Amino acid sequence: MAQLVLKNAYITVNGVTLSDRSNSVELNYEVESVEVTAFGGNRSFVGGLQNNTTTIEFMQDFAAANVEATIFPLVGTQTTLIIAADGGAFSTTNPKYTVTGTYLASHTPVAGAVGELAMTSLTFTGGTLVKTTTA
Amino acid sequence: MASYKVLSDNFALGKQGDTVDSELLDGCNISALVDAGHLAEVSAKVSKTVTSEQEK
Repeated sequence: MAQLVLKNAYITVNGVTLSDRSNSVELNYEVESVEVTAFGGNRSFVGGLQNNTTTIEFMQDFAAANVEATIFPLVGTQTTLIIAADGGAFSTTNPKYTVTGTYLASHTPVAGAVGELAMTSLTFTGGTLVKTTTA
Repeated sequence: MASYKVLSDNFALGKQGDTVDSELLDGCNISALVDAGHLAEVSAKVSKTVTSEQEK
């Protein structure tokens, strides 16, 4: 497999395709480590709860059914994200990552300095991540 | 089961004009989608039979 340059990542938030309004995405899949070290042994851990975090940078868009309209009602609620490295068909070489029940705590509708592109950086926390290789 | 009409062109679970049911929307925040203008709830149609004078 060749190296991959992210050119066409796939992003849906709450079932809405917003790939064309984003320029950065980071999906962090984590399972907490729970220590089970006992006397007489070395440090030892087992897997605990998933503790996933997804950070997405969106170029703000106040048009109907676009970034602001989609994101604003989600603050303080749980939703579903779907992320893939490419917007083409999902496959073993382009897996789809679905995070259900992930929570959005905050959103910055207006952010940026003079002359800068208006952006909003969203961090979704928690939820359950599943990786699949088909649609 | 509630049904919703897709209003926007960037909704991934249905094309604009399609009708989707709440089962398909599992995991989505439906009220947020309605607020955002992506979906509109389809009201149940009340069946009404009208008999005209000519049919009598």
